[in-house]
Amino acid sequence: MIITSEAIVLHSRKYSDSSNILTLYTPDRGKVSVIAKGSRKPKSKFGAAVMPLGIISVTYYFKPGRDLQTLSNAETVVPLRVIGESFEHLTTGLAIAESVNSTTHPDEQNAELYDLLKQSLVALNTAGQNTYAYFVWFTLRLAEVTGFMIDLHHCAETQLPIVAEPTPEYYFSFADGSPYSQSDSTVQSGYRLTGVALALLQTIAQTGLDDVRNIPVSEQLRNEIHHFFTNYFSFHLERRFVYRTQKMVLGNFEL
Amino acid sequence: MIYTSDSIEATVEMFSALPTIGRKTAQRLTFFLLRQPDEVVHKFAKTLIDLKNNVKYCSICFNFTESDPCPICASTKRDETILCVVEEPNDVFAIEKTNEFNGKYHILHGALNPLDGIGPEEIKIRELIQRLDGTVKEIILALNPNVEGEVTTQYIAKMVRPLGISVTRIARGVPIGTDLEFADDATISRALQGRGTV
Repeated sequence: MIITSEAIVLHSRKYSDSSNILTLYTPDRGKVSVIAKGSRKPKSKFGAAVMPLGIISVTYYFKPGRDLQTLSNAETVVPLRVIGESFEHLTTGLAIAESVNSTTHPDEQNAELYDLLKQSLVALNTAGQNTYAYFVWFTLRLAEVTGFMIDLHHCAETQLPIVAEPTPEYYFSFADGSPYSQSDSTVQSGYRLTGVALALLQTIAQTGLDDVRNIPVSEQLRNEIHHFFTNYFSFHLERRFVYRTQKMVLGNFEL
Repeated sequence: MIYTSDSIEATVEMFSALPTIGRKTAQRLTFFLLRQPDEVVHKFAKTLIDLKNNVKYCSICFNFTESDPCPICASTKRDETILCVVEEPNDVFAIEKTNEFNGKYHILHGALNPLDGIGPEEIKIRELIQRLDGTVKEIILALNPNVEGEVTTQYIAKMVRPLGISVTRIARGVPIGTDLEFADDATISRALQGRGTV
């Protein structure tokens, strides 16, 4: 069966001398793996389109039961020039792609997630300096559309509204996807989150995608929020979840 | 498959472990060697052993060499102020073939790949920064035109620019000998951005 669809390239790895194996995210079939034969040859007609973060139109031969389909053609639908030319934009975009790749299974259709991913990458392409806020915005919505919704605004125990105060820490219940309010002194367990981080998460959760560009995130808060998401997804996916892009996004390396 | 000799089987295994060599080709190469005179096979084996024993990394540019520093780094005729940064030693051969570049090289031995967790510590970026002691005036980034190459290019540019060194990259565009109509949108777009005066 020949299938034509829009897709976003989540991952690409070299295969043999001139091919790539791609992980695509499609609106109709979710995550699909395809082999792009000859895509690394200089004369390949779709070599440039099939790079990670590419929003493309694809044609591929689909055989049910096969893990790897064969790509026949690919063309760029939305060029993301800015993402391709800035270190911060690229690493943030790749972290977003990795999040989708790591939290979804093959052939699990989720058109809402596809739209969210596309919308986020297009917005990131127009972002200024504050690219990390886009990752946070996306991850909060990713949790929602994959069934692990994070409700930052209500107490896990009492369901009363919480407006985060900057000073003391909050305990967060991964099982409920919510923090405990500080006044609930009986609760002394859960993941510890600073008030500043919770306040920032609340702000980003309430902000529209167009306004995320105005939210700077300090290096310290990036680390805290990244670890929060890592632990949150590890809990819900019931396996050790690690962002491979973490090192580059957070700058956690020594030269 | 059952072979009549363990040595044949072992040799086929060794050949088929090489890149781009499948089992059938490995078998063909094994039988070819068996049909050669003893001295040819001994010479072949010795060449491989010498290759592994004699070739090491140049301590300056990290290219493969038998003498340290390598002939390119040791040359006084080459321009020390221009450094061309490439991913692999093969890329040096590709550039040297053109006879267009008379500067020196730095080989990274890979590229940054955030999706696979490959960061700056895994490649020779620290060594590149350490080489920038004031002699180098320009760095030419000749990395592969893919996401890994782009992340590496942006990262090195970010690290090197504050040192007051000019950072350039090789042009991207339509390959010579091809028809424009078959080039993809991104390539044509980059070619237009990098257009030159005739």
